[in-house]
Amino acid sequence: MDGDRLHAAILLDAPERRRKDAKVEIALIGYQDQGNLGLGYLAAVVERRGWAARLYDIRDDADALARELSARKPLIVGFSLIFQFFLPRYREVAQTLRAAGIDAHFTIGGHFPSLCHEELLANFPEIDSVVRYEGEETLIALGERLRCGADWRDLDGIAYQGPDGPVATQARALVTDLDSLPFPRRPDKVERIVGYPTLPVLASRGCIRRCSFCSIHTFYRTAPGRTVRVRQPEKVVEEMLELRETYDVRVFLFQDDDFPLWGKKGRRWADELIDRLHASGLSHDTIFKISCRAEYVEEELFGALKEAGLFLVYMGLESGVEDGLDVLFKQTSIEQNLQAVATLKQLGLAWNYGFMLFDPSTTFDSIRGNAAFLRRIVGDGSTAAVFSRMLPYGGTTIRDTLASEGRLRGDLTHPDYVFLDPLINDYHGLLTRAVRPWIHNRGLSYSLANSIDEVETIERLAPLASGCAEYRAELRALTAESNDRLLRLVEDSSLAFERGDPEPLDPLPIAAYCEAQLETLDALRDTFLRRNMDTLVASIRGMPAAHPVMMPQVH
Amino acid sequence: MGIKPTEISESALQSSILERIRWIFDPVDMDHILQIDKNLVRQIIAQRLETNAEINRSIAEGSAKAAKLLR
Repeated sequence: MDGDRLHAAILLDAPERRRKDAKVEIALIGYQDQGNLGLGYLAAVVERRGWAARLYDIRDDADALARELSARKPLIVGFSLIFQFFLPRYREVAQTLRAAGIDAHFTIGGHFPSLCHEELLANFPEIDSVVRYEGEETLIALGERLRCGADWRDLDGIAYQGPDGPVATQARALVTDLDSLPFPRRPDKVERIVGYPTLPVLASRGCIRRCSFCSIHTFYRTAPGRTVRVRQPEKVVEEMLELRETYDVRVFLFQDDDFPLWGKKGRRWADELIDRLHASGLSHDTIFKISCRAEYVEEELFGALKEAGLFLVYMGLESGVEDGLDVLFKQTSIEQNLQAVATLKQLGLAWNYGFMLFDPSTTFDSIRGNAAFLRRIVGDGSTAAVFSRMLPYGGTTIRDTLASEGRLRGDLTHPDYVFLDPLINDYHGLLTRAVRPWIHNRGLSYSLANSIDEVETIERLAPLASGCAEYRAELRALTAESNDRLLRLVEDSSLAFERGDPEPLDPLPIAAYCEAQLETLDALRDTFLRRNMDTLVASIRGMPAAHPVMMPQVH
Repeated sequence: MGIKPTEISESALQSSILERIRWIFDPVDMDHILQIDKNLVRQIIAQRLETNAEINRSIAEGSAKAAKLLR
């Protein structure tokens, strides 16, 4: 079935067809934190076809899942795998399901299976097929074939293990019009930030850039069709209104690969979105976060976005030295990154960032250069200092480069590489262990950054909350001190390690410091939230606020 | 269908206000929270070269078509 005919079939909504297909059920299994939009879209097209879709978390008990699916007898069990880290867990679940006698067709999709299908099939024999690239149309086509016992191996967008090795059919074209898709199915339980329901949304898919460490552009460029597709602002706002109505969502997290603000076209799109957010009333009592490139941050546009509800901007800054930006192929400059941060601070927007202190070009000098850059942007405590190490994910060009240089290490699920200076390998290991009290999911830096995001949320959604300015000032002082300590550790330890002295990396005093700071933070946070409990409860329950989210500006 | 804040109890709402949400903004952040099994072995180089080959095949195909149109 070709793309157009299939699309027509998806759109067909005849009741007779639904009755006939009453028993077709598809189980979709993946990582469900923050609402999995990929699985949500798949579930929505399955339901629009008139079939049933059930969502499960890959971390659920595998035996319980096997009992559930044994009873439900789905036609297809679809696994959604983004990162290869999870592969062993997926294999374990699939093995448990097969051992329980579940003979449904097992398929898998996502970035890693799409880009590395041969390796996946070789290491995952329980899988019958891989749905490559965007899966909405292929999954339905697969279901159509399977439900009438027809062969599916000639479908576009499929890979499977043939008798002579892996076979990949022609890649199916990307969805041309994202607004032709139904709104994604949502989880039964939504996450909350300081009590306000929050859900992810998408305004676009794809990224026009070619960062060497990122597999997103490879994923979209390898399949035919336009790499970047943007939804109509009207439909985005319609979905937001529906989520506001159904779930009382007050905080929207735009999870676009790159929020579509580039160029004149992006500006026109943003202007329309802003107008519609105001006209719909969403700007009055909801806020949103976006992820975008630094060069899009411009005072007038982001000021207007803030008035429409923007409260938090995530940017992948990634490096503070030119060699790092070059090897990561960020196509941005240190000055652009600094300017973006300065603009966001000037506008009073909360911001977070991705940053790779370590990349394949790392030297001790670049480590200190990056630390100096981080001091410039977070030395004031406006957000927490965080950093990580670039990892060579499947589907990235940096992995090819490292492979050709003989520097690739690790294995299928945990890819790694060696640095050019062997001493950096040892230093990285010790530093990672030492900074863990700051940089892990419940570490000091992440807790500080989350607390800053929380107070921003409260200031915007509950303007009657008291003591915000004082709490914010305390947070800023705590964050500035923590950042200084963390960056000083990087600076001092890198100099000392070069001299052969690993002592500054002793993890014990560091852990004690972070623990004490976390206790202080928790006490401050608890006091602030409890003092405002009644105000927050009233605001979350939708009691009329005394002021709109954004006060009108008086000139 | 989600549960609206107006439909949950006062104590549950208060707990959700005090509870910390842990957002993950960037995939690389996940490196710190994942328990990684290192048992599965190498094959990495061939894996990436295959993707590379596929991209180059697509480029070659497109270039050939473009060249044909220009002739």
